[in-house]
Amino acid sequence: MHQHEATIHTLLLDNRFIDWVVNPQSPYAEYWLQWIAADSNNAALAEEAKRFILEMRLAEQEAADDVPDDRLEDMLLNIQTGIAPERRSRKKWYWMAAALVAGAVAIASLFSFPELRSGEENSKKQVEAADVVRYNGNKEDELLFLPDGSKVILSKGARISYNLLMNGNKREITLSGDAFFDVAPNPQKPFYIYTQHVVVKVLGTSFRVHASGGVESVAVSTGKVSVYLKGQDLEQSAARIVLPKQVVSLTEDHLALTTNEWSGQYPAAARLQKITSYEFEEAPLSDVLKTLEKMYAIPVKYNSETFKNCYITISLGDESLEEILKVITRTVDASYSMSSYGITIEGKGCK
Amino acid sequence: MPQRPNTSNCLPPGEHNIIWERFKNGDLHALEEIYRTHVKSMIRYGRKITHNLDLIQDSIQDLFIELWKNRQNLSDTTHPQYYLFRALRNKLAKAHSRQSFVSESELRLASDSLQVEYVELEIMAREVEAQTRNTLKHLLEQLPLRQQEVIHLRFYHNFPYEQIAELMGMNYQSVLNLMQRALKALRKAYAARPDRF
Repeated sequence: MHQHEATIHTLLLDNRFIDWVVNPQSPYAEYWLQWIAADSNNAALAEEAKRFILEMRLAEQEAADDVPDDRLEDMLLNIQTGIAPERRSRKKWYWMAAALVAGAVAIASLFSFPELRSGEENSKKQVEAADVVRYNGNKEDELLFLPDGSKVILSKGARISYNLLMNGNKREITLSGDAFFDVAPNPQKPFYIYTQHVVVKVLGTSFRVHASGGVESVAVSTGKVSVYLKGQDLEQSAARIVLPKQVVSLTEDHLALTTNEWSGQYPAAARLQKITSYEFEEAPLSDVLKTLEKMYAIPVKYNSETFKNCYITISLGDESLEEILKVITRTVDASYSMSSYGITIEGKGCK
Repeated sequence: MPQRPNTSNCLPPGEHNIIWERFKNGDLHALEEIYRTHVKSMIRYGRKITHNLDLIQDSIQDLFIELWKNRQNLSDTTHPQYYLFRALRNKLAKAHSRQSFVSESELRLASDSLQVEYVELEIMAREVEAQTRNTLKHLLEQLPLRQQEVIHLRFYHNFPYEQIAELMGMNYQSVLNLMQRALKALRKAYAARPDRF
């Protein structure tokens, strides 16, 4: 082994070096800064070893194929049941579900509810969340937030539908009409858009999909997406890759795709740069949750009396719904759970 | 005013102690909080020990139920994550040896030494076709599980080697050897990867 590589190995085997790289409060920071300053070679060595560690951590992060959240909730429920077998935890669960249904009636026209399941064999099954349909009946474009952190500008008359929590192993959306998507990157959970004839697959990028009146096209602003004709095997190489400033359209006979140059100009993209989040400073929790319900078209259930003294500073819109819920519940010392009917927040409130 | 203005992702170490204390005193909310804080990293860690995801999930459930039932006898810890990892590891190792009728030390031999050369060849062949980050992901996945486990604990969770040795029931030098082997394979393939980024 070369001397250079040998030194890198030594660094990677040193607890203090790794601690310095990954722990912002590392007590060894000064030591390594001095070591780097001591020899002109050391800086390059430290940099290379550091980059290796950080890239390994990133790879670990991306390789993690996390178990779906509702499975984790099921496990917790099993634990709670296992601790107190004689307790009426199952009953309570159904009661909670019933209460949530009642709370959701106000916006029921937006949802198509799945049938209430009964029977014990279903308690272990993963619950598929209801589909939510969002339609823009206004005269102007409308900015929508999706639970995964993606954003959509929906043109008037356009409509999308998706699983309320987007908690499957894919993110899937059905679209009719004209929409501009800014997809939050997540290689573990590819994002699919289905129109009448084509499927668009994307890992994280921004682009416009037009699907109405038999005319379907996909125009890309940044990143790249794959477009398939429906019915084709998605893993086949028959995909059409669309690059920035290109547009792919469906031919009139609906049998093939053609690629053309495109100006890359889309007014909606500029708009997305401007308003992308809602800022709250020391705002009542109820205000924040009300906005959250509207942004994600998702019912939020909590006891307003309990939480009436909670104030929170937060920015909504740039992170996924789950990230936002984590921040909120951590701030007000509460917990949240998601079900096919929406979100429930529980806690003891604030003094 | 919010009760706790702390919105960071990790709780300060002192806070864990309080939760652990509450757990020992029979607070169900503490159980839930510990579960929510650690379950994802426990599953990830479990995957470095076995490929059987169902077994990991079942073991975690059993583990929490047992912890609760024995809560009065639990020792104090400043590092619940380490405690939970060790309990999970013991459970998985036990289940594993029951299933395969092979002792743990034999498993260790089989997964460590026999595959090394094969794995390195595999890495070289695979990386030509792999793209960007996938390269590293593949490299990691190609390593024997025990090497993945050390890399995970050291780089990802920042566990010192001494603690890893204790957790894996190995002596300190063996852990360093294991890490050295993993690094050798990873560094070699890393340097030769087609697309530097």
